[in-house]
Formats: sequence, structure tokens, C-alpha cells
Amino acid sequence: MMRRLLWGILFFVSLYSQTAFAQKCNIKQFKDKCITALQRQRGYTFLKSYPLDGQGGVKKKIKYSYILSRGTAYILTMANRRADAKGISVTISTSSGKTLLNSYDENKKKFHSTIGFNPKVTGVYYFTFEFQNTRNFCAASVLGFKRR
Amino acid sequence: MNKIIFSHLSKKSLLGVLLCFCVLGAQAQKGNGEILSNIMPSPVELSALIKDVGAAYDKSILNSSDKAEGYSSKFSRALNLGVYSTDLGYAAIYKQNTDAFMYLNSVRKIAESLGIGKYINYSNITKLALENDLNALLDETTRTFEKINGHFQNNGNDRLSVVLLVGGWIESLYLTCEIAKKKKSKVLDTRIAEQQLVLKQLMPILKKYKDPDMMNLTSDLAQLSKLYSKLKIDYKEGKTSTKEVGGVLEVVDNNTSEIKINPNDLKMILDTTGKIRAKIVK
Repeated sequence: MMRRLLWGILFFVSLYSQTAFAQKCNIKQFKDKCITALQRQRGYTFLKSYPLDGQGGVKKKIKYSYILSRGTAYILTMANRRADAKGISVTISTSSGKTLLNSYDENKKKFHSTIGFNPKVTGVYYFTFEFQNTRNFCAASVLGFKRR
Repeated sequence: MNKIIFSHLSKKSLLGVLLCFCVLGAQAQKGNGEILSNIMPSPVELSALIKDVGAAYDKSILNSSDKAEGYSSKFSRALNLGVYSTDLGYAAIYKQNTDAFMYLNSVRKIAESLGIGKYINYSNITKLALENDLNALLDETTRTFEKINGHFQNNGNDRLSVVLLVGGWIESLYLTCEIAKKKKSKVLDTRIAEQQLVLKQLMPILKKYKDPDMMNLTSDLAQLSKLYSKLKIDYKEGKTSTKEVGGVLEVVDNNTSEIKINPNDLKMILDTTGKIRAKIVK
């Protein structure tokens, strides 16, 4: 019992240390890369930014939601310290849980860093970002919009 | 001996483990303000829509910027901080710099009276506005309001965070309604009707607060919600797929929806929104 308790304490101490000493995630540089990528897509205006701090691998998935409107075109850009944003993907799903897109192409082993979406239905949509096959747990994403 | 150590350790370590769980729990639990700020459409989107339908900039529909010092309670200040931030966004989208600076000043006055002035980087906002760098300006103002939200939440004032967001949303709905009264546009009517979805997210959160100010606001929005419940949305699910266009992976969405709006119901929504907004800014 005593041993179990000590192991338990050790587990929490190591969990805390992993979180506390994880490399600090400087989102700003990646967000700026996302805004630059957004500006390359003609006519899009900045809407929201999403910090993606995986806390050194403690968090593999980070979920956000937003109401997207019919008649508006949206662009989601992602960036990390790699030029091709390899290692970060996003899944877009509806409020009923239907998956619309996953930015990682399993067949081609390709990470898409820019996603376009023109919803036909106004609704709550979920963006689930995931760190995949990477040790780089710091990234950012930016959502932009334009009228269609 | 073992028993003594165990007893001593178990009490202290269990307390430690419990505390650890509480902290982790608190970190995992999102505040109402954070939930709303993630989900609610940015007022900038509605302002851009108003501009896109060809409506001219109309300063007369905005809240008067010189009323900023007249709001005495924290509740009314937070509500009108939301109102002024939407007015600031509207002026910025139309690149009306003089008005944008006036509204920035109103935001500053209210923010300082709420003790959150330190989160607003006026010199940077001014610089970006003068450079007409809209994306960077929107990024800066969005971050500013995220910091303010964070401040309210970290200081046990989640309620003010919610109030701020409601103020901003009501103002953007009001501006859209006022323009829709003057300029017939199916796009605007549809967007007003679609705000039903925002109200559906908002109402359960508002009902959690039991203080008189919040209950009054909730009661007003419940009236609006009742009117919105008369709107019918037909939804048909279609197949979705993806395609790559010029390096961008796109969703090909074949779902459809149609909102059936009775003109009388819409008129009631426009009028009720006007009344609620009038109570907020008075």
C-alpha cells in the first residue's frame, strides 16, 4: 500500500515536472506565419487565432469551436517551426459529430497547412488540432474569412 | 513504524494529490466567458457583411462615444465595453479612422474604469490603424479582448466576461437590424435569422447567473429567443468530400439549409433587438 502511494506521488510529481519544464511555446512567431499565409489568399480578413500549445506532448489534441456562417468563405492556416507545417493537422467536424475534413492525407503522408471551407449551413463547427508523428508540440492557427 | 510513516504520509500526500486534482480540474474547466468567446461570431464578420451588401457607413446608428464615462455600475460598463468594441470594429472595417479613434478612446475610458486598461496597447493599435493594416489590427484587438476575458476569468469575474461578449453581440445584431430596416437585403435578413443559433448557445449560460442585472438581461434576451423560435430552418444532409485547389485543401459541402422567415416575425425581432439595445446604452 505504502509502495503504491509512493509510486502515485512519484507519478504526479513527474507529470507536474513534464508540464512545468516543457519547452516554452512561443505562439507569436507561428501566428505571424499564419497571418502571412492568410494574406497570400486574396481577400481574406483575419478573424481569430488559435494557440496550439501541446505542453511538451502532454496535450496531443486541442479542440476549438466556432459558429461558421453560410455565404462566407473561411480559410484556416496552420504553422509550426517547419516551413511545411509537418506534424500538425486539423479535423473539421459538425456539431452532430460528422467529420468533414482531415488535413492529414494518410495515403500521401502529407500535411496540408491551408484549409478552405465554404459552409452551406450556418452552425457550430469544431476544429480539432492534433500533433502527429512529431516532437514539436508548439504551433498556431489562424482563421480568416471573406464574403462569397 | 511503517504504519506511522504511512499514516503521516497518507494524510499529507492525499491532501497533496487532492490539491493537484483540484488545480488540474480548475485548469480543465473552461469558464463561461471562454466558452462563449470561442463560439460566438466576431462582430467584425457582421460589420464586413453590412459593408459587403453595399450599405454606406452610418455613424448615426452607433452608440454616442461621449457616453462612455456615464456608465456607473461594473455591469453597465462591461456591457458597453462590448458595445463600443463592436462600434470600433464597424468604424475600422469602413476605414473611418477619426471615428475609430473616438471609439478606441471610449473603450479606453471604460477599460480603465474597470481596471483593465493595462491590456490595451493604444500605441500599437493606433500605429496599425494608421498603417491601414486591417489583419494586424484585428489580430491586436482580438488578442486584447482575449486578455481582458482572461483577466475577468482569473479574477473570479467570469460574469463580466459574459456580459462583455453579450454587449458586443447585441450591438452587432442591432447594427445589422438597423441597416436591414433601411436597405432590403435577403443576405442581411438571413444573417439576422441565423443569430438564433447564437442565442441558443447563450441562453443556458445566462440562466446560470442569478443577480438582478443578469436576470433582467436574461429576461430581455428570453423575449428575443421566443421570437426566434418561430423561425423554421429546413436542413438537408448531403455528401461531403474534399479537393485540393492551388495548394489549399477544400471541403466540398453538399449539405443545404433554408430559413423560412415570416416578415412580421422578422420585424418583431428587429424592434425587440432595438429595445434591448436602447436599455443597454441608455
